[in-house]
Amino acid sequence: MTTLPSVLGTGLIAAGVGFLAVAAIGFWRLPDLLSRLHVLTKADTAGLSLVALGAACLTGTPASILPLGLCVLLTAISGATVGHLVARSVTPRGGRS
Amino acid sequence: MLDFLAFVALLATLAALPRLVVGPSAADRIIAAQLAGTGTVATLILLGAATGTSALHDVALVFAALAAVSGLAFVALRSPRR
Amino acid sequence: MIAFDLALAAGILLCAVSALTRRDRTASVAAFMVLGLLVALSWVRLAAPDVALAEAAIGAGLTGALFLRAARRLGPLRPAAGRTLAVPAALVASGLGGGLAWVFASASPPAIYAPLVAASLPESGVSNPVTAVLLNFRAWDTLLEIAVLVVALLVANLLGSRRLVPVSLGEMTLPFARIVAPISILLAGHLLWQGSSAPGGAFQAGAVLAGGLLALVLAGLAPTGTLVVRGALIAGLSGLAVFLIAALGSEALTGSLLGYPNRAEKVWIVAIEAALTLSIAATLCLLFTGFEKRKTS
Repeated sequence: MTTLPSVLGTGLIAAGVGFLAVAAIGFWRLPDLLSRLHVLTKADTAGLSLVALGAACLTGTPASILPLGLCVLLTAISGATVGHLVARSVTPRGGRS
Repeated sequence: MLDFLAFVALLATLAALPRLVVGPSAADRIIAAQLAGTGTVATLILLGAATGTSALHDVALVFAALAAVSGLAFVALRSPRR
Repeated sequence: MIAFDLALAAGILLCAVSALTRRDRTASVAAFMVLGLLVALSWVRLAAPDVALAEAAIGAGLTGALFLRAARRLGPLRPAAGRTLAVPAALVASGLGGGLAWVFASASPPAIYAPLVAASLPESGVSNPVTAVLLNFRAWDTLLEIAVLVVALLVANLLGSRRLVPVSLGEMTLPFARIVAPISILLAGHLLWQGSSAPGGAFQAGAVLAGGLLALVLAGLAPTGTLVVRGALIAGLSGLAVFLIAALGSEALTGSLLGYPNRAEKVWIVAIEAALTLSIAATLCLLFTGFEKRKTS
């Protein structure tokens, strides 16, 4: 159980879950929509990719690494796109300078 | 250990709920749902790793693929053109 | 894990309450979306990944978009609208809940259905019990479900739901759509094929495909001509048509409605599911975009 991949995997997962927890706290504490969007995109990219990387270390089979990688890609690009669009829709002049 | 981490991820998911209820703006509520979606994907990955069920990867993948659709729809429907 | 389950159940109840009591349509829809996420997690905890997958595909992703579209069409909630119905609705709901609790409490513990399915699984042609029930043992039910979808499509068409003119989302959406659409097609194919041996199937695959198509539509990459809409309508109706032809064909071949020929069951099931996937995707997309190209006044 205490092999290097399992220790590394658990550590990475703990870091990712930490990101998610901090994001959850920040989502409640931060004062306005734009700073909350900032929180959302960090959780989507850093948090989830660390969790998936850790899970990939723990399982280590190609059949599980592919879906985990796709999960990370899809969530990261979803968060970035939605964050950008929501931010643009609330800024004056639609974000166009 | 993984069980505990999955529990923390679930708590992080649920922590988006107060913001969803309070708002204040509609965009706040939608991005709260988006954050809860990310938390759910993480929780599913952790449950899958804890129990060794690979079917959960498909569930997580479906969530990840559809995560942005409602967000996109929200922004696209936002300013009514009448 | 008991703490996990308790927190999950509390979250589900909280979501349901806020979806019902918020006087703001976006809040209700967002709470409903999160409810779908948590319910999918609870199906996972109940060791039912098939149901979790269906909930993920249909409950969390697409219904959110469809509800937002309906909310936009309905306009803001009028204050205190429907308050008079609250008491009868609460009575009906608690009566239903009480009845369900009574049934659950008085049900005999050994289930008859699961061993029966397990015993006749080899003759169904597939190894996933859920697919075996949905597409072979009780294919009749699924046929009627598809008929319900077709009725929804036709009614929406008859009501002349106005074609959506989405706000242009700008260039930043293009890379998103270009990445998500191919992946969702791949994922839909994977779910469809996997349905015969593992959690997956036509509804899930169709919903994922519809998600990818909606990303293309919202990014402005999909063609929007009248011909395309008409083609999508035909695709939406074709699922029921293929299912009916299969029913009549199997009647002619084996003498029983939807009793597939021996040793060819898997081919029949996968063919029907493939047609259903395309039809469900087209139906969900059309329900979101609307039909008539009417200039919005």
